[in-house]
Amino acid sequence: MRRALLGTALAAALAAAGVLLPAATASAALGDCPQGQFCVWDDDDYSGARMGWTGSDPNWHDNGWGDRADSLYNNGTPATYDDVRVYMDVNYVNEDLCVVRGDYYDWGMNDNDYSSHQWTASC
Amino acid sequence: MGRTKRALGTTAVTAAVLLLGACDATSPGPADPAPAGAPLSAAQKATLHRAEERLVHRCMHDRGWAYRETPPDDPSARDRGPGRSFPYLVTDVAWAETYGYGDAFTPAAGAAPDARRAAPARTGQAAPARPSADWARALYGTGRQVSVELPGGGRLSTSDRGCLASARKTLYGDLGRWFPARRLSDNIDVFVRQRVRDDDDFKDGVAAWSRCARTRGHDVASPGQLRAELDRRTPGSTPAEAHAREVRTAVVEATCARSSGLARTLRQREAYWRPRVRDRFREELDELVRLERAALPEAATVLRTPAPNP
Repeated sequence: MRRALLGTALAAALAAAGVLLPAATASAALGDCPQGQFCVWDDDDYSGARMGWTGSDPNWHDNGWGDRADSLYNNGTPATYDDVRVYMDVNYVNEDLCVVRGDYYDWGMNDNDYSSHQWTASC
Repeated sequence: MGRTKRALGTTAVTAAVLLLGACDATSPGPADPAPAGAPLSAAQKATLHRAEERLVHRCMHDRGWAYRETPPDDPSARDRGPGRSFPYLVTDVAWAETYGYGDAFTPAAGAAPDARRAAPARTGQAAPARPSADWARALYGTGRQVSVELPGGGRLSTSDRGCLASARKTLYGDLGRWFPARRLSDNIDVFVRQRVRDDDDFKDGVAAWSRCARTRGHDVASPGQLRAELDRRTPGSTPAEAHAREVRTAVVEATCARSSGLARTLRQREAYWRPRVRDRFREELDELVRLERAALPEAATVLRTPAPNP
């Protein structure tokens, strides 16, 4: 029963996905993210306070960014480890997204979402 | 603020659902695309990667920037050594005995573990005023973007301009077709794990794992809590002591994953969800194979010309 419900929920959740959205213009604020960093912002559309890392961080709470970010950008420099895995919890538990360098992500994050990230070789 | 944006997202979701419904009503039709064929081999994927890097290199060079091509990822290397990643918890006892939590638990470092970074530099003599920002802009582009909506309503985007976008257009044609398919494919494992974590079987499995951890002296409800114990390690311990403690903890995590049956449950639930998630994205996954297969001749042509001189 529970599984049937979940199946329905999956169908509903996935039905909404995978659609190409209309062309839009990227936020100019993306340019504030320093080259080589993985950046997160307080609000959607890469606005509000910003935090950036050149390395991995197992606990965003340590610097006041746990469960807080609403948008993010992988402005990493091309290298062996240049994609970023983003996790719901600290210490790289519960991966929720993999972000290739040059890509950015918003809309899907709530304040209580991400709390750690790790550079990886590929998504 | 965030609420307005999310409301917009919901509208897009609704529109997307309606569109899909309309598609279902008319398919199958005579205009069905050709079969996608077999997935690309690792060697073919590596060829596409190298060609994309060569095209980016040329484009950056034409704009007066230095660029170092990155080699293709070695998928087999990912499962060896300390860099091995366990998506739920460590399940390999022998690995834990050697590496503890491996690279995955190395505290925040100043930089990614990589000496091969391509440093932004101008070719020739003149140094630009803001080298890194301008270099990144030439590479990743600004302005118009392409986007795809992921399950859960998130929007993943990339620039339609810049040397990276230009390289991808040369290989795959329409970025608006390739990008959504590529990114959905990149995140299939993530979607599968999200479903697995929502399963009752997973929750029961973690509860059984937790009972096992308690018999070994760790009063924790989840692997995350077990790892958090290491955060509270006594200050002043030597690196060797810290490593020994990390290994002991990781070994408990892995041993309990096996003896409690959680590792087996994870394999079973992944096997249940993976084909269902892939089926949902069948159209995009097939499209990706078609686009990337069609790009192989162009990639071979691109690679026949040498890299620009620095």
